[in-house]
Amino acid sequence: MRIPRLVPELPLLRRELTELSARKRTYVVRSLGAMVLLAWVLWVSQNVLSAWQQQQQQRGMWAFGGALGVPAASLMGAGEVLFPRLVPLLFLAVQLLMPSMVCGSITIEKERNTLGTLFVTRLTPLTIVFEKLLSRLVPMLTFLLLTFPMLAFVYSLGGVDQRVLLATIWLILWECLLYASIGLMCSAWYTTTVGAFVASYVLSAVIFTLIRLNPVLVPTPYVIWQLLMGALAGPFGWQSGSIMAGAAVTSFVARAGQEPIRVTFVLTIPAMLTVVFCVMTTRFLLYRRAFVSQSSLLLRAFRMLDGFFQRLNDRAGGVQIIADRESYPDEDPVTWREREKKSMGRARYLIRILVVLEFPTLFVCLMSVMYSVNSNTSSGLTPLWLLAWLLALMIVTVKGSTLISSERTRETLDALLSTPLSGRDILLQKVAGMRRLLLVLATPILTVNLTLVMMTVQSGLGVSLANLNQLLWLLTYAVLSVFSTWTTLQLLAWLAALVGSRARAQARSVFAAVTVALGLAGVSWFVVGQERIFAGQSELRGPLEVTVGNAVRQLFRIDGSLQATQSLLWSMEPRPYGYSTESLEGLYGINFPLLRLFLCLGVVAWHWILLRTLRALVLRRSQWLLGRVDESEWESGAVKSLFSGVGR
Amino acid sequence: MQGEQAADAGVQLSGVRPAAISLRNLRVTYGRFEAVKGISLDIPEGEVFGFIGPNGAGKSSTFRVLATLQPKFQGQAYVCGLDVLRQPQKVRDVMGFVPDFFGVYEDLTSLEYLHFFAAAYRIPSAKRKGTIDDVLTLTDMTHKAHSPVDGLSRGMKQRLALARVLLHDPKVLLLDEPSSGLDPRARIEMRELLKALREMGKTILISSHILSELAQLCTRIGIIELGRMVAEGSLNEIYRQLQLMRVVHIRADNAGPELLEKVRAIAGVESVEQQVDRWALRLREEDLSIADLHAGLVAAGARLTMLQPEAMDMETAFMKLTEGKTA
Repeated sequence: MRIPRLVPELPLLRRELTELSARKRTYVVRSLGAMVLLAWVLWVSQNVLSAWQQQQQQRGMWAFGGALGVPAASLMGAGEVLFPRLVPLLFLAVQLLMPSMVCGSITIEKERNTLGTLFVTRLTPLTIVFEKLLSRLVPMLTFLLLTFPMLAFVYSLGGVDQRVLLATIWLILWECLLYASIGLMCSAWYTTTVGAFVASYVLSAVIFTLIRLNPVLVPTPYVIWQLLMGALAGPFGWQSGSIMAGAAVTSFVARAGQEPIRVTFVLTIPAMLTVVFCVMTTRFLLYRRAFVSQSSLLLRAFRMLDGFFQRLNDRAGGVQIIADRESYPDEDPVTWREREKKSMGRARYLIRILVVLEFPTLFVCLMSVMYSVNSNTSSGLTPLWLLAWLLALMIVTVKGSTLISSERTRETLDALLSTPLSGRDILLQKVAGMRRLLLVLATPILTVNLTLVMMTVQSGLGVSLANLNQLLWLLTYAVLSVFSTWTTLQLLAWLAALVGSRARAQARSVFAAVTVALGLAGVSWFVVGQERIFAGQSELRGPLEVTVGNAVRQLFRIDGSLQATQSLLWSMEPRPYGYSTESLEGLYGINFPLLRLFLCLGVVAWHWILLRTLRALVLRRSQWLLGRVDESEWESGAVKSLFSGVGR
Repeated sequence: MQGEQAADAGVQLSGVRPAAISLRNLRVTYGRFEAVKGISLDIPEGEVFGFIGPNGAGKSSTFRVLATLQPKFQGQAYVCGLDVLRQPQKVRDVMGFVPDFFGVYEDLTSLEYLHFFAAAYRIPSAKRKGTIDDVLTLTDMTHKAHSPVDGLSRGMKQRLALARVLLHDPKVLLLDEPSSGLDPRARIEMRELLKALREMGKTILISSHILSELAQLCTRIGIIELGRMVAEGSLNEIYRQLQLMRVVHIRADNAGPELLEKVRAIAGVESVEQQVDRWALRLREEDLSIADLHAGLVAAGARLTMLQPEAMDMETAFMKLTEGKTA
């Protein structure tokens, strides 16, 4: 009798995993990722456990145990504190990594023209979708498995209910599935991996924003986990304050203490339905979007925008500020093409983008100014500033990293490289072609900064333009704002160009550039410490330590000079850190505002030096980045060493 | 100075014409894989050299070295006496390269595309229009000047690529499979265009899979397999190197065993194979010409109704020289 096969053959999954295992970079990336994640977990653990021990010591519960003199007994029950600090890291890792891992699963087949061959096999569309989903889930889960010993350690410390642990694992699994299915859906819709990558993260950002607004609206597994932990901590638990759950949900969640698994399962149903919806949508899109010709989404969006403005212009009387004209390059052909022929370079398009970006920015700024009269807060603009900065970061990173790789992908680079244009010229002209775009992206950031100045003046903090000192202070802030914004965007553009130029595929160059940008932010966390980031709220460190610590952290951050400039405005607050300026001066013997100014100037100058160094490095290594023979490298000995002993 | 000395040593052919392209023991490796294994080659000015080889034989790697796009290689490579490694900028001034796979800027028209490259080749603004008009005329692309490049056919794109590399009037043209993917008409037009360039005195290094095409165009050919040059010279030289037998098909009214014996006895006839309606004679052409064979057959009493020498083509030579191994 023939035994029916219980596990289907899954040839696509097998192929995907074989391909993955054959790539050297799989192991490099996974090892690096695991090291970073484990280092992060250890760092958090160490901070939390030392704080826990201090608390226990203060309570007089110190006990000496263990042969090595380790205060083992003092750690008993520490899992209760450590567990809620570690698990968010796992959720964060899923949210950050899963979209990038999944977004290329179907687009790669489209880019290689292999999707058609899959369709002519006996694999059904749903099987293809499931196998693709599994092929990306398996690496993510194996990656997460690396951290499970850490969870086991936390569990062994005590204080963690076994049912809560199981519920957490269940929720992490569904968090993986949720983000994977969203990424897969984007991959089915888009024709390029870059498009799917951007869309996946934009959707993830939308989910984040909705969670911030009202978590109950978007019950992702992470939100459910937070609800669960809040319920377990009791009505005044540390988590419950941040969750604005509705009454019905609250009463249901309150039962989590007795039956966490059942509550968790019921609450996960919306997430499960979302996953099913995304998978079915992917299946629906798989055929329909399989052979759609590659066209830039941005270009299509611009064309739509163009049509809208055209109609608006016709109604308004047909005034044309910038007309399309036939032009040819004069001296700098690469810049000419970037500025005159590309959607992200043409003045006509850019002005329209500027209007689209600036109009809502101005609106929100004006509303903030109106509502903040005589109040001491400007925090309403922080999300807007953050949004403008993130948008600029995303666009500049993608554009900068694909300057060369897009030419390589479209096989136009060889023709360009065989001309007498030097590598330095090509890269300089490429980046120069981005300047207009940088100006457009800088404008909303500067608008918010200017609004902050206005709000400071009218906020009732005693700041007046009639006061020469304060006027000079505000002028310095304005000048530094412009300078630091420009420096930061240029720095980002050159960094992205450096990271992305060697990549053979656009998607890879974007991944690399985004990873480096985020990596730099991560480094600043590790170098200076988490407490100092929440300046003023730290009870462990004094104002001077926080101020200097922030400045050091800003040295490492890509947006450090922007942050440093912002700190100048905080200096105008009458009671920074809850201390008056005079008492701070008395406490440390330092003029605090002046210290902040010097630190700010130092950070801005450092970032400018970084920009010039990076630019010089990129230009010096331009031929290597582009991948062609360079006589200057020969002369400098860089290439010579490669050919030593060749028989010249 | 050092480069010039090396160039002098490397590019002077034995008292005839200076070499436009010179390779000395060229080796290209990608990781552990050796794509080119010590190729040496001299191509005099004005020559059209055909590069033949199966896929993965090392042709494109050799082209990339000469086009200054291959930073890592061993050996020496010169274009017009200029060292590719030490004087790449000068090499780019005298060379035009059409890669095997190339894209075009889809956001430009043909005219804008050529203006773009005219600026990249540093052609003075005042001269650009005239130069571009000239290359458009030469490549018969004038009627497509304002067409978007993206909408051009493959053949038109190839012509546009040729127009691009002619902008700065280079002495050497490196054409990596310019006819690949073209329909028969476009292929013939491309061949005529290349002949015109040959007449203009350009030195052309061309690779192709369509061997008969190279036979009509090239003054010399080189056959490359697995990174090694297996044969090099004019077509006749290669046939001689291979000692290829010429096959002649004959039909006679009085074909029979007696005539067969007489034909076999003709000096220079290696073998006679009886086929359904004809005999296939294999002969050594240096010993017996076609005309002498005809005379010999008549003398043997054959009443010929057909005498047809089989075309000795490059496909035969290629198949004989290569073993069909690819990387």
